Amino acid sequence: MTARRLVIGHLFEDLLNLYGDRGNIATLVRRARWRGIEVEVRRLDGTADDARALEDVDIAFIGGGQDAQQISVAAGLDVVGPALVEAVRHGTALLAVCGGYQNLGHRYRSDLVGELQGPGLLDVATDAPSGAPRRVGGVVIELEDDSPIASGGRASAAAAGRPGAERRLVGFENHSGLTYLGLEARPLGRTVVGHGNNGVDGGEGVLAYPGQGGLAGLRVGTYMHGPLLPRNPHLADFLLRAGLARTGQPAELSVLPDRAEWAAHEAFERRWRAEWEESQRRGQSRVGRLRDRLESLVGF
Amino acid sequence: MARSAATRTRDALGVVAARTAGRLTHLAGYAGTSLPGLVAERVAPGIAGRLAADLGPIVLVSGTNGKTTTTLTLTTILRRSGHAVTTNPSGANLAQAVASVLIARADLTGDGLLRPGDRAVFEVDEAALPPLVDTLPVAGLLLTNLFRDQLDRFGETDRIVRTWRPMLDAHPAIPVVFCADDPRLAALVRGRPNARGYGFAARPLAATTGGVLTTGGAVSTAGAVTTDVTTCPVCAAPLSVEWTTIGHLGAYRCGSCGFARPEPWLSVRIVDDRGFDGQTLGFTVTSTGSGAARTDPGAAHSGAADPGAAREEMATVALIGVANAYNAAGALAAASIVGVDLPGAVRALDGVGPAFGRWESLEIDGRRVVLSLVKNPASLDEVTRAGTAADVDAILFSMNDQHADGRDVSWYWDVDPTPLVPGRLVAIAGARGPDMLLRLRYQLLDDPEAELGGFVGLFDRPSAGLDALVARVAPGGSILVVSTYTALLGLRAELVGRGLLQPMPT
Repeated sequence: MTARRLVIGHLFEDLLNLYGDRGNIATLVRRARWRGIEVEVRRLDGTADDARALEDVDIAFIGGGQDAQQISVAAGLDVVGPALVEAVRHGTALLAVCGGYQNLGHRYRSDLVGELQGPGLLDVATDAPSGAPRRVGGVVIELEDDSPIASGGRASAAAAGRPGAERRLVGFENHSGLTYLGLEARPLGRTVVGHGNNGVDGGEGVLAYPGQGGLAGLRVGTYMHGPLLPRNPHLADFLLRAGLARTGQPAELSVLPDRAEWAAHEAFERRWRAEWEESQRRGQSRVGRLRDRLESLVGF
Repeated sequence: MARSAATRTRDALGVVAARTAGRLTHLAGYAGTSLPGLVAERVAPGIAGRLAADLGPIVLVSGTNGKTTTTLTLTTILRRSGHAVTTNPSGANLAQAVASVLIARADLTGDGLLRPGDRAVFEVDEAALPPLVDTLPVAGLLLTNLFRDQLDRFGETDRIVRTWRPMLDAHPAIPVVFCADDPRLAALVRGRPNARGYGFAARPLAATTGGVLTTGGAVSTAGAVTTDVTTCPVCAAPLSVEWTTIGHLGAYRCGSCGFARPEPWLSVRIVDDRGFDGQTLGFTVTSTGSGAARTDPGAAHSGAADPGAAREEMATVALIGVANAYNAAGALAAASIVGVDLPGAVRALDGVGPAFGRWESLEIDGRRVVLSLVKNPASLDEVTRAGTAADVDAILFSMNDQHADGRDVSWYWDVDPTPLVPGRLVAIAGARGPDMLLRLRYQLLDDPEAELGGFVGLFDRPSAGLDALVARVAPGGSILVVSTYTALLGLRAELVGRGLLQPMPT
């Protein structure tokens, strides 16, 4: 039997590389290779050659960057955007984080960039209102009860002695944009800790299963970086399965010894949950608010 | 400075109120470096500027990396050259903290206590620089570099450039010393007659940047950090690079608009690299050097205008690595604009050692322990480079993400620290420890069942990790601590408690 193969496309690596994005690629590559799957990573920028190369990509990844780089990305998407849409229509799985999440929605608007149109691969639109505070900190989200991301990670979490952990994703957010979902769109999960898409509707990210919206490819968009995949091995495997399925290869993945992964997942969750609860409690009490103010005056 | 009686009274009140506030915060158990400045400013608005007017020439040192070491080096050079120097403790670099230093120095009548020949050197946070330049009578700015940093606090590096440009435009008379190898800084001072650049003479051999994680295990040497600046800061066309030292610092040229690295006024080269024992550096002034620097501000030395002055001056320092070669060059160039000529400044530089926690070295039970600080991709890259080349038996990674570390420390996934690991014992500590372990595993392990070679364990406390390594390293061996800011402060405090290190000055 010949070994299974995957092609991963890293979009605009030079422009969007601000938030540990290479860690997401490394995680996909390692977790595939650890199962004997051959992996090739292709850098894809904004040229006509890159647009053609997208045809062969099983999993496409786009990361985060600064506003100035997002303008360049929007220009690059004028060239490769249609090819990316075509690829996803035919089954390419997509993971978009932070700036890439904003860029691949319908539009991104901010003071500095004005209004950037996106290809609408993700059914979201983003505004960064002037003077909007940056939302910075840990994020914990809960997946839907019947989430295939969770069910795919159950065995691995149980084997590592952390049953139930697969029902959550953890990450770090750092953005001033507020993202709103289309009427038919579903968030990646419900925010338990952190601000998520807009701090109002309780959702974080966006998730479109294969087939939704007439596109055969899985699409995941999220503000969670830090990076996202190393400490969420169930999400990494979910993307790998989608990438394998695109070319009709068997999509089963063996269970890996993920003790270090789930330990990092749990440590991250515990820590940021405690901090979030403390900040909520302080925010509600006058003494707490006073102490916050005093401490910020005094300096840490 | 002549002040009205009313102002004098208010300034005196401000000083008293500020000192009382400072005393109280200390009693409450806080470091409280900012509060006195804040209180004084409330009681006596503008007091910082009035106290500073009595200081003598003030140099402000700012930039992403190297502020603390450069400030200490410049301060040492000036002191050894016979000047009394007022300076701020490391990390107390926001506007109120600088004001606190001025208040601590003033007498109770609000006089700044000037002596002839006095100088002041303040390390200033990048975001705090513009308001301080507006407030204080500044004799010179020393701009070290601009790397991506503290993503959560500033949001974006571009924002610093956007605040510095109008600051420089509003103060055309202030001489600027800048790292000519940084394209963003060179673009900021382009056409400024009173700017003086420093940089490497040529690519230093030691400056092989750490590997970059791209294809999971396959390490490419294309710089992750170099992507900080890929386009021309003047015209936005792609920037071509002849060589780089750290991150994007190096020799660059824009093929489109012709913007290129200005020839540095002061060039540095590494004459002899002795690892953790320091290095010998050579410095040469180029009379044609950058930024039309021949318009000598202040008391410049005659060599600058003399075409025959290209003689190399050498100093041996207990400062490690390429970054510290830059820091030394920056300090020398800045010394030249406040009255110390190059040969004298280089003599004063000889033997200068590290600032607290920056390649600081100590001994525990016969093992050498070296402390290094990482706070962004560029510093991790530099520590990886120097630490990989050095003779090291064990590594302690100590990673936190408290406010002072920058909450968003995702950058340790963008730079590859794993060249430090092979053949060495490894302990990992801090709040981000479990994450750092994943970082190493995903880079290094071909077999998911395998343990990381040389891995000693995960520890909550950095000191526990260090103790575990000390117990396993033979006497005479050495341990490198790679640590974020708060983890380093905590570890340092414990080592001070054990009598192994001197406390940091406050």
